[in-house]
Amino acid sequence: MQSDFQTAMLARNPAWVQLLGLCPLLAVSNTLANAAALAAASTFVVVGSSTLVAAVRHHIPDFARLPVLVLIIATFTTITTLVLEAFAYQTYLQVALFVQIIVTNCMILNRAETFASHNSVGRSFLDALGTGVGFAIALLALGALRETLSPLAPVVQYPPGAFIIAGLALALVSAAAKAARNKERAE
Amino acid sequence: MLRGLIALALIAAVCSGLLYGVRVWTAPHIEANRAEARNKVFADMLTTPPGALVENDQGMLGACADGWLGFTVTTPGYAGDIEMAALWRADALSMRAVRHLETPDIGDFIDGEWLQAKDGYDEPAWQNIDTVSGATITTQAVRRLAQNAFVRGLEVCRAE
Repeated sequence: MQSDFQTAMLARNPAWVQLLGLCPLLAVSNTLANAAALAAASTFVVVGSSTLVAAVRHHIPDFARLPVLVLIIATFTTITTLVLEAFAYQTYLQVALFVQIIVTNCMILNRAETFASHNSVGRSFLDALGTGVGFAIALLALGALRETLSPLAPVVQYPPGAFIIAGLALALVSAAAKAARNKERAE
Repeated sequence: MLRGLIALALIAAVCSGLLYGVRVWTAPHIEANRAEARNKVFADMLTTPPGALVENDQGMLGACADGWLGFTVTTPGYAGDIEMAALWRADALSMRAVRHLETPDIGDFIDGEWLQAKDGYDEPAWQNIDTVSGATITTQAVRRLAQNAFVRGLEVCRAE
Protein backbone atom coordinates (compact mmCIF):
# COMPACT_ATOMS: atom_id res chain seq x y z
CA MET A 1 0.00 0.00 0.00
CA GLN A 2 2.85 2.36 0.74
CA SER A 3 4.03 1.82 -2.80
CA ASP A 4 0.63 3.00 -4.11
CA PHE A 5 1.21 6.32 -2.37
CA GLN A 6 4.84 6.65 -3.47
CA THR A 7 4.16 5.57 -7.04
CA ALA A 8 1.32 8.06 -7.41
CA MET A 9 3.39 10.85 -5.88
CA LEU A 10 6.65 10.29 -7.75
CA ALA A 11 6.77 7.79 -10.60
CA ARG A 12 3.28 8.79 -11.77
CA ASN A 13 3.42 12.42 -10.64
CA PRO A 14 0.40 13.99 -12.35
CA ALA A 15 2.13 17.25 -13.28
CA TRP A 16 5.74 16.38 -14.05
CA VAL A 17 5.31 12.86 -15.42
CA GLN A 18 1.76 12.58 -16.77
CA LEU A 19 1.46 16.30 -17.66
CA LEU A 20 -2.09 16.46 -16.33
CA GLY A 21 -3.75 19.47 -14.74
CA LEU A 22 -1.44 21.94 -16.50
CA CYS A 23 -4.05 24.69 -16.73
CA PRO A 24 -4.42 25.25 -12.97
CA LEU A 25 -0.74 24.43 -12.48
CA LEU A 26 0.31 27.38 -14.61
CA ALA A 27 -2.54 29.74 -13.81
CA VAL A 28 -2.52 29.60 -10.03
CA SER A 29 1.18 29.18 -9.30
CA ASN A 30 1.88 32.91 -9.57
CA THR A 31 2.14 33.08 -5.78
CA LEU A 32 2.91 30.45 -3.17
CA ALA A 33 -0.31 31.21 -1.27
CA ASN A 34 -2.53 30.65 -4.30
CA ALA A 35 -0.60 27.51 -5.20
CA ALA A 36 -1.06 26.14 -1.67
CA ALA A 37 -4.80 26.84 -1.75
CA LEU A 38 -5.32 25.09 -5.06
CA ALA A 39 -3.08 22.20 -3.97
CA ALA A 40 -5.20 21.66 -0.87
CA ALA A 41 -8.44 21.93 -2.85
CA SER A 42 -7.27 19.52 -5.56
CA THR A 43 -6.02 17.02 -2.99
CA PHE A 44 -9.35 17.07 -1.15
CA VAL A 45 -11.30 16.54 -4.37
CA VAL A 46 -9.11 13.71 -5.69
CA VAL A 47 -9.03 11.92 -2.30
CA GLY A 48 -12.76 12.33 -1.66
CA SER A 49 -13.87 11.36 -5.14
CA SER A 50 -11.48 8.38 -5.46
CA THR A 51 -12.54 7.05 -2.07
CA LEU A 52 -16.24 7.32 -2.87
CA VAL A 53 -15.76 5.84 -6.34
CA ALA A 54 -13.89 2.90 -4.84
CA ALA A 55 -16.63 2.41 -2.24
CA VAL A 56 -19.41 2.20 -4.86
CA ARG A 57 -17.39 0.72 -7.74
CA HIS A 58 -19.25 -2.59 -7.79
CA HIS A 59 -22.58 -0.79 -8.06
CA ILE A 60 -21.81 1.68 -10.86
CA PRO A 61 -23.61 0.46 -13.98
CA ASP A 62 -21.41 0.19 -17.07
CA PHE A 63 -23.73 2.30 -19.19
CA ALA A 64 -23.36 5.27 -16.83
CA ARG A 65 -19.79 4.88 -15.64
CA LEU A 66 -18.35 8.18 -16.82
CA PRO A 67 -21.35 10.35 -15.85
CA VAL A 68 -21.30 8.84 -12.36
CA LEU A 69 -17.58 9.54 -11.99
CA VAL A 70 -18.08 13.13 -13.12
CA LEU A 71 -21.07 13.49 -10.77
CA ILE A 72 -18.98 12.37 -7.81
CA ILE A 73 -16.05 14.60 -8.76
CA ALA A 74 -18.40 17.56 -9.28
CA THR A 75 -19.93 16.93 -5.84
CA PHE A 76 -16.58 17.17 -4.12
CA THR A 77 -15.59 20.20 -6.21
CA THR A 78 -18.76 21.99 -5.16
CA ILE A 79 -18.15 21.07 -1.52
CA THR A 80 -14.65 22.52 -1.78
CA THR A 81 -15.92 25.73 -3.34
CA LEU A 82 -18.57 26.19 -0.64
CA VAL A 83 -16.15 25.50 2.20
CA LEU A 84 -13.57 27.89 0.76
CA GLU A 85 -16.13 30.65 0.34
CA ALA A 86 -17.36 30.11 3.89
CA PHE A 87 -14.07 29.80 5.78
CA ALA A 88 -11.32 31.31 3.58
CA TYR A 89 -13.10 34.12 1.73
CA GLN A 90 -10.04 36.11 0.67
CA THR A 91 -8.38 32.98 -0.69
CA TYR A 92 -11.65 32.08 -2.40
CA LEU A 93 -11.67 35.42 -4.22
CA GLN A 94 -8.17 34.71 -5.57
CA VAL A 95 -8.63 31.10 -6.71
CA ALA A 96 -12.39 30.51 -6.98
CA LEU A 97 -12.44 30.25 -10.76
CA PHE A 98 -9.73 27.59 -10.78
CA VAL A 99 -11.25 25.67 -7.90
CA GLN A 100 -14.50 25.40 -9.84
CA ILE A 101 -12.72 23.94 -12.85
CA ILE A 102 -11.04 21.25 -10.74
CA VAL A 103 -13.96 19.11 -11.95
CA THR A 104 -12.38 19.18 -15.44
CA ASN A 105 -8.91 18.34 -14.16
CA CYS A 106 -7.83 15.23 -16.05
CA MET A 107 -5.74 14.10 -13.10
CA ILE A 108 -8.84 13.46 -11.00
CA LEU A 109 -10.89 11.66 -13.63
CA ASN A 110 -7.77 9.66 -14.53
CA ARG A 111 -7.38 8.34 -10.98
CA ALA A 112 -11.09 7.64 -10.61
CA GLU A 113 -11.31 5.79 -13.93
CA THR A 114 -8.02 3.87 -13.98
CA PHE A 115 -7.46 3.13 -10.30
CA ALA A 116 -10.39 3.76 -7.96
CA SER A 117 -12.84 1.95 -10.25
CA HIS A 118 -10.80 -1.25 -9.95
CA ASN A 119 -9.24 -1.21 -6.49
CA SER A 120 -10.19 -1.23 -2.84
CA VAL A 121 -11.07 1.85 -0.80
CA GLY A 122 -7.78 1.73 1.12
CA ARG A 123 -5.57 1.48 -1.96
CA SER A 124 -7.62 4.10 -3.79
CA PHE A 125 -7.32 6.47 -0.82
CA LEU A 126 -3.54 6.10 -0.78
CA ASP A 127 -3.23 6.41 -4.53
CA ALA A 128 -5.37 9.56 -4.51
CA LEU A 129 -3.43 11.00 -1.59
CA GLY A 130 -0.17 10.36 -3.42
CA THR A 131 -1.59 12.00 -6.54
CA GLY A 132 -2.75 15.01 -4.56
CA VAL A 133 0.55 15.34 -2.72
CA GLY A 134 2.49 14.96 -5.98
CA PHE A 135 0.38 17.68 -7.58
CA ALA A 136 0.84 19.84 -4.49
CA ILE A 137 4.62 19.41 -4.67
CA ALA A 138 4.58 20.48 -8.32
CA LEU A 139 2.29 23.45 -7.60
CA LEU A 140 4.24 24.64 -4.57
CA ALA A 141 7.60 24.23 -6.28
CA LEU A 142 6.40 26.23 -9.27
CA GLY A 143 4.74 28.82 -7.02
CA ALA A 144 7.88 29.26 -4.93
CA LEU A 145 10.08 29.54 -8.03
CA ARG A 146 7.84 32.10 -9.71
CA GLU A 147 7.42 34.18 -6.59
CA THR A 148 11.17 34.12 -5.88
CA LEU A 149 12.17 34.96 -9.45
CA SER A 150 9.53 37.62 -10.11
CA PRO A 151 11.56 40.57 -8.70
CA LEU A 152 14.46 39.59 -10.98
CA ALA A 153 12.41 38.63 -14.02
CA PRO A 154 8.87 40.06 -13.90
CA VAL A 155 7.87 37.96 -16.93
CA VAL A 156 7.59 34.86 -14.69
CA GLN A 157 4.45 36.35 -13.14
CA TYR A 158 2.69 36.10 -16.48
CA PRO A 159 1.63 33.09 -18.59
CA PRO A 160 4.67 33.11 -20.90
CA GLY A 161 6.99 33.05 -17.92
CA ALA A 162 4.93 30.30 -16.30
CA PHE A 163 5.33 28.14 -19.41
CA ILE A 164 9.08 28.74 -19.51
CA ILE A 165 9.62 27.97 -15.83
CA ALA A 166 7.37 24.91 -15.98
CA GLY A 167 9.17 23.68 -19.08
CA LEU A 168 12.57 24.07 -17.42
CA ALA A 169 11.31 22.28 -14.29
CA LEU A 170 9.92 19.47 -16.44
CA ALA A 171 13.29 19.13 -18.21
CA LEU A 172 15.03 18.93 -14.84
CA VAL A 173 12.66 16.26 -13.53
CA SER A 174 13.01 14.24 -16.73
CA ALA A 175 16.80 14.44 -16.56
CA ALA A 176 16.80 13.36 -12.92
CA ALA A 177 14.46 10.45 -13.66
CA LYS A 178 16.63 9.35 -16.58
CA ALA A 179 19.77 9.51 -14.44
CA ALA A 180 18.08 7.45 -11.74
CA ARG A 181 17.01 4.81 -14.29
CA ASN A 182 20.52 4.63 -15.76
CA LYS A 183 22.00 4.24 -12.30
CA GLU A 184 19.53 1.42 -11.54
CA ARG A 185 20.43 -0.38 -14.76
CA ALA A 186 24.14 -0.02 -14.06
CA GLU A 187 23.63 -1.60 -10.62
CA MET B 1 -30.90 -2.67 -15.94
CA LEU B 2 -33.27 -2.02 -13.05
CA ARG B 3 -30.52 -2.75 -10.57
CA GLY B 4 -28.29 -0.27 -12.40
CA LEU B 5 -30.95 2.41 -12.27
CA ILE B 6 -31.51 1.85 -8.56
CA ALA B 7 -27.76 2.11 -7.98
CA LEU B 8 -27.66 5.34 -9.97
CA ALA B 9 -30.51 6.76 -7.91
CA LEU B 10 -28.76 5.85 -4.67
CA ILE B 11 -25.44 7.38 -5.77
CA ALA B 12 -27.28 10.54 -6.83
CA ALA B 13 -29.04 10.60 -3.46
CA VAL B 14 -25.73 10.31 -1.60
CA CYS B 15 -24.20 13.14 -3.63
CA SER B 16 -27.28 15.31 -3.18
CA GLY B 17 -27.31 14.66 0.55
CA LEU B 18 -23.66 15.57 0.88
CA LEU B 19 -24.17 18.77 -1.07
CA TYR B 20 -27.28 19.71 0.87
CA GLY B 21 -25.57 19.16 4.20
CA VAL B 22 -22.54 21.23 3.25
CA ARG B 23 -24.77 23.95 1.80
CA VAL B 24 -26.75 24.22 5.05
CA TRP B 25 -23.53 24.26 7.10
CA THR B 26 -21.77 26.92 5.04
CA ALA B 27 -24.69 29.18 4.04
CA PRO B 28 -24.59 31.47 7.14
CA HIS B 29 -20.81 31.90 6.88
CA ILE B 30 -20.97 32.64 3.15
CA GLU B 31 -23.72 35.21 3.65
CA ALA B 32 -21.75 36.86 6.46
CA ASN B 33 -18.64 37.07 4.27
CA ARG B 34 -20.60 38.56 1.38
CA ALA B 35 -22.33 41.08 3.66
CA GLU B 36 -18.97 42.15 5.08
CA ALA B 37 -17.56 42.54 1.57
CA ARG B 38 -20.59 44.63 0.53
CA ASN B 39 -20.28 46.89 3.57
CA LYS B 40 -16.60 47.41 2.92
CA VAL B 41 -17.22 48.43 -0.68
CA PHE B 42 -20.02 50.84 0.28
CA ALA B 43 -17.91 52.27 3.09
CA ASP B 44 -15.09 52.96 0.60
CA MET B 45 -17.51 54.56 -1.88
CA LEU B 46 -19.15 56.74 0.78
CA THR B 47 -15.90 57.33 2.72
CA THR B 48 -17.55 56.31 5.98
CA PRO B 49 -16.64 53.55 8.43
CA PRO B 50 -18.47 50.28 7.69
CA GLY B 51 -20.14 50.42 11.09
CA ALA B 52 -21.73 53.78 10.25
CA LEU B 53 -23.77 52.40 7.35
CA VAL B 54 -27.49 52.29 8.14
CA GLU B 55 -29.97 50.42 5.98
CA ASN B 56 -33.53 51.64 5.43
CA ASP B 57 -36.69 49.51 5.54
CA GLN B 58 -35.95 48.08 2.11
CA GLY B 59 -32.45 46.99 3.01
CA MET B 60 -30.90 49.84 1.06
CA LEU B 61 -28.64 52.69 2.05
CA GLY B 62 -29.77 56.29 1.69
CA ALA B 63 -33.32 57.44 0.96
CA CYS B 64 -35.31 58.70 -1.99
CA ALA B 65 -36.01 61.90 -0.06
CA ASP B 66 -32.25 62.52 0.06
CA GLY B 67 -32.00 61.83 -3.66
CA TRP B 68 -29.74 58.79 -3.51
CA LEU B 69 -29.83 55.09 -2.77
CA GLY B 70 -27.20 52.44 -2.23
CA PHE B 71 -27.94 48.82 -3.08
CA THR B 72 -26.40 45.83 -4.80
CA VAL B 73 -27.24 44.44 -8.22
CA THR B 74 -26.30 41.03 -9.54
CA THR B 75 -26.14 39.53 -13.01
CA PRO B 76 -24.51 36.48 -14.62
CA GLY B 77 -20.98 37.16 -15.82
CA TYR B 78 -18.53 34.95 -17.68
CA ALA B 79 -17.89 32.30 -15.03
CA GLY B 80 -20.45 33.17 -12.37
CA ASP B 81 -22.47 36.00 -10.95
CA ILE B 82 -21.11 39.53 -10.81
CA GLU B 83 -22.36 41.51 -7.83
CA MET B 84 -21.86 45.28 -7.81
CA ALA B 85 -22.51 47.93 -5.22
CA ALA B 86 -24.46 50.72 -6.87
CA LEU B 87 -24.80 54.32 -5.68
CA TRP B 88 -27.83 55.55 -7.56
CA ARG B 89 -29.20 58.98 -8.26
CA ALA B 90 -31.96 59.59 -10.77
CA ASP B 91 -29.45 60.75 -13.37
CA ALA B 92 -26.15 59.33 -12.16
CA LEU B 93 -24.79 55.97 -11.16
CA SER B 94 -21.52 54.79 -9.66
CA MET B 95 -20.69 51.12 -9.26
CA ARG B 96 -17.98 49.02 -7.67
CA ALA B 97 -17.45 45.24 -7.92
CA VAL B 98 -18.25 43.35 -4.73
CA ARG B 99 -17.65 39.84 -6.03
CA HIS B 100 -17.13 38.15 -9.35
CA LEU B 101 -15.46 35.19 -11.01
CA GLU B 102 -14.20 36.89 -14.14
CA THR B 103 -10.98 35.51 -15.56
CA PRO B 104 -7.87 37.05 -13.97
CA ASP B 105 -6.02 39.44 -16.31
CA ILE B 106 -8.88 39.33 -18.81
CA GLY B 107 -12.19 40.16 -17.14
CA ASP B 108 -11.05 41.47 -13.78
CA PHE B 109 -10.62 45.03 -15.11
CA ILE B 110 -13.92 45.70 -13.32
CA ASP B 111 -11.97 45.72 -10.05
CA GLY B 112 -9.96 48.79 -10.90
CA GLU B 113 -9.93 52.23 -12.43
CA TRP B 114 -11.98 51.24 -15.47
CA LEU B 115 -15.14 51.29 -13.36
CA GLN B 116 -14.15 54.25 -11.20
CA ALA B 117 -13.66 56.35 -14.33
CA LYS B 118 -17.38 55.94 -15.03
CA ASP B 119 -18.59 57.34 -11.69
CA GLY B 120 -21.64 59.52 -12.16
CA TYR B 121 -22.43 58.31 -15.69
CA ASP B 122 -26.07 58.64 -16.71
CA GLU B 123 -27.99 55.74 -18.25
CA PRO B 124 -27.18 56.43 -21.92
CA ALA B 125 -23.49 56.78 -21.06
CA TRP B 126 -23.47 53.41 -19.26
CA GLN B 127 -25.13 51.75 -22.24
CA ASN B 128 -22.55 53.28 -24.59
CA ILE B 129 -19.44 52.14 -22.73
CA ASP B 130 -16.78 50.66 -24.99
CA THR B 131 -16.65 46.89 -25.13
CA VAL B 132 -13.37 45.57 -23.77
CA SER B 133 -11.68 43.35 -26.32
CA GLY B 134 -11.52 39.73 -25.13
CA ALA B 135 -14.11 40.39 -22.42
CA THR B 136 -17.33 41.05 -24.28
CA ILE B 137 -19.43 39.04 -21.84
CA THR B 138 -18.04 40.99 -18.90
CA THR B 139 -18.73 44.32 -20.59
CA GLN B 140 -22.27 43.27 -21.48
CA ALA B 141 -22.79 42.24 -17.87
CA VAL B 142 -21.71 45.69 -16.69
CA ARG B 143 -24.23 47.33 -19.06
CA ARG B 144 -26.97 45.04 -17.73
CA LEU B 145 -25.99 45.85 -14.15
CA ALA B 146 -26.21 49.56 -14.83
CA GLN B 147 -29.59 49.17 -16.55
CA ASN B 148 -30.90 47.07 -13.66
CA ALA B 149 -29.63 49.61 -11.14
CA PHE B 150 -31.38 52.54 -12.85
CA VAL B 151 -34.62 50.56 -13.18
CA ARG B 152 -34.54 49.47 -9.55
CA GLY B 153 -33.78 52.91 -8.21
CA LEU B 154 -36.64 54.46 -10.16
CA GLU B 155 -39.05 51.70 -9.12
CA VAL B 156 -38.24 52.11 -5.44
CA CYS B 157 -38.57 55.88 -5.49
CA ARG B 158 -41.76 55.85 -7.57
CA ALA B 159 -43.30 53.48 -5.04
CA GLU B 160 -42.61 55.90 -2.17
